[in-house]
Amino acid sequence: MSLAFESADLPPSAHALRTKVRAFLRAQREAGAYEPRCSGWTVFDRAFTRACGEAGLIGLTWPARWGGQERSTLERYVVVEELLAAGAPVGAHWIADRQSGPQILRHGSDALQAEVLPGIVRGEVTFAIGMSEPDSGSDLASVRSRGERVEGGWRLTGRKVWTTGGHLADYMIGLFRTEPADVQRRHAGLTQFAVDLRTAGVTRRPIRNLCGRDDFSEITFDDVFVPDSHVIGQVGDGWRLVTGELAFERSGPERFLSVFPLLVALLRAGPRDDTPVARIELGRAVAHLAALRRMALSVAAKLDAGGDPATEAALLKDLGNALEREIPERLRAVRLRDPASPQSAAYRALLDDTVADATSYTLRGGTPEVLRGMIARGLGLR
Amino acid sequence: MSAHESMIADAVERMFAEAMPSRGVDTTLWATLVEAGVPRLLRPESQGGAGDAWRDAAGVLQAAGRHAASVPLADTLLAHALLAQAGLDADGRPIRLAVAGPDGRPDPADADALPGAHRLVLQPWGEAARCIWMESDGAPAYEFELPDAPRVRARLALAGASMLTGALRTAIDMGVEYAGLRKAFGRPIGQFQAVQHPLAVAAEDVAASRAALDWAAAGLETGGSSGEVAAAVAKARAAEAAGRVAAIVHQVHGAIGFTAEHALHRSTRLLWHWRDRWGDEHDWHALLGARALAAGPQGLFDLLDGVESR
Repeated sequence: MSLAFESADLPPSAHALRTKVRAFLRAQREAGAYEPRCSGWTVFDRAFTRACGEAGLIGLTWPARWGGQERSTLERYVVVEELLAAGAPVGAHWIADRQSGPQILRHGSDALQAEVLPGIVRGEVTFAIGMSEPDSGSDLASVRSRGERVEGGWRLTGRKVWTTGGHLADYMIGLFRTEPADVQRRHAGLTQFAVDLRTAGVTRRPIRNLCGRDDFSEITFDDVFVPDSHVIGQVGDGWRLVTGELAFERSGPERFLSVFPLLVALLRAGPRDDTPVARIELGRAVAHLAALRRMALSVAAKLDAGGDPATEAALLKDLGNALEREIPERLRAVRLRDPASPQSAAYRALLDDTVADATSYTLRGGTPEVLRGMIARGLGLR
Repeated sequence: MSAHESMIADAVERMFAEAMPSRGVDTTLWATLVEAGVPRLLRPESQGGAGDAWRDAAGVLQAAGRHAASVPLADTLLAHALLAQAGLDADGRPIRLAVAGPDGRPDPADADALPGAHRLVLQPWGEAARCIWMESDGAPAYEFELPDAPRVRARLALAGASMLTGALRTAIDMGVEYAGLRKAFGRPIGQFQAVQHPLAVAAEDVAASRAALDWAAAGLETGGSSGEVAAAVAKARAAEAAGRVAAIVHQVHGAIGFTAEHALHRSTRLLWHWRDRWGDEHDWHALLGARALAAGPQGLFDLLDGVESR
């Protein structure tokens, strides 16, 4: 009854790919393009994303006709884990590469694919996720933003909120109600649209978070026109599509590697080793991260094989997020060899920032309260 | 088993399933295992084993953990692997493998009587592993050293992780089953979120332990440092999970699970026992942490893949 993750190993091509990404990251660092940060996948940096596009690090699994390299999900896995481990600012292409692009590849029209996919691969076209609303978070099926059919397309009205990078992105795949809500069939009548956020009627406002950064935003739709070609999949099939998208959103290494740069900064600062505290905390982090990494590889392989790892993804995310919240808390017990060194100061600043930032890890992309319900269903309890 | 289908593990699982719960060593079951050559599994093929068949061994010991089998199979299986390395043989009697902790605390199993058993005392925490071999018929003790202590430690870790992971799987299965049967306030308690969510957390721990174990068993068969790191990860992960999962499934079972009569404690006692044997999670965390310190900021990520690039 307990959930098993089939063992999966990286293909032989992974090594060369890893070497290539490390060389790219070293060059970027030496050029002063970024400072490592935790949760680099939420840091929106168009210049860095264009550099990633030029280096061939976006859309790796996609068809060659859209600029992709037709590589496997496991090969893509190597690239994204290296970018995350380095704390690189990959937020501008993260969502497009991880879920919006794949969603459009599977369910988008030819016209939409041609419009956005080559640009994503070049690192020029960026996406945001349009799920949460002021009154709809975990209960996503209760969204009230709506689409009305008009000549040649749809008109969208409503509001999305907590949208990471929404004030900066070019497009959003949003979930809208296209039929009146029916309490008997809550998941019916929803449709996904790819919306160009530069269209007339879209108003965007960044929301400052408690760390002092404008990472997320509120987006208002006031009679925004979207052509028929920008409907994702079938009208009314939005719930099935959005839950399929969530398996991509939840199963990646960003759900446990967000705080990895903090461990690197600690090693750079140099922990005191005259008591076992540093060894035990570092070793515990290694044990948990290594096990999670095996699970994430397993999910990547399952996605490659066309499987639906929605429950595994929920499990992986809940476990990974819990660890990401624990690591900064537990590292507070570790003392440094030279507390006055610049490396120690840099580590402490990163620790302080991560403690606060970690508050969001169990909120974004599905809360433990929702994920554990999904796991319980997988166990046969619901 | 998941990735590796083990016919041996399946066969042994059937032997355990057919055995009756027993106080002390189940001598009938032991005789069946010996007849099938199971305790010699890790000896070379020329001695009736399958060589470094660590995936089979992990499967067999997981089965022992799942069924809380009343036989000292992990001890004997490992002892045969170590004795074979030193060119020593032993008969079919059980072997107690006594491994003190890195701080010198005795192996918790040392307090359990194992009548007629041979005894292998092992100190694996230094550069070389020191062994004392004591046969049960009173022959003089024989001391020897195995040169590659990290590999010896990895084998211990894998065996312990296998026992724990098997017991973890039974514990979560029992917790889920009981939550579906027991009714309170007019419905099965498994329908309450307050019960569902802790069981989900327990399932996460079990899944992570299984994933780490599969990785470690494959790594030990390949050889090299990646198997050593993976085995340490597997034991640390399962040992940490053991306490949490035991607490959750007992809470779900309520008072009935606290009785001597109920079968739950056969699994949870195994969890508490094996998390402490052959290095607990704190020992293995410290060993992994030492590797992390040695790897440094540049090498830390490769350590997650079991690679040590210094």
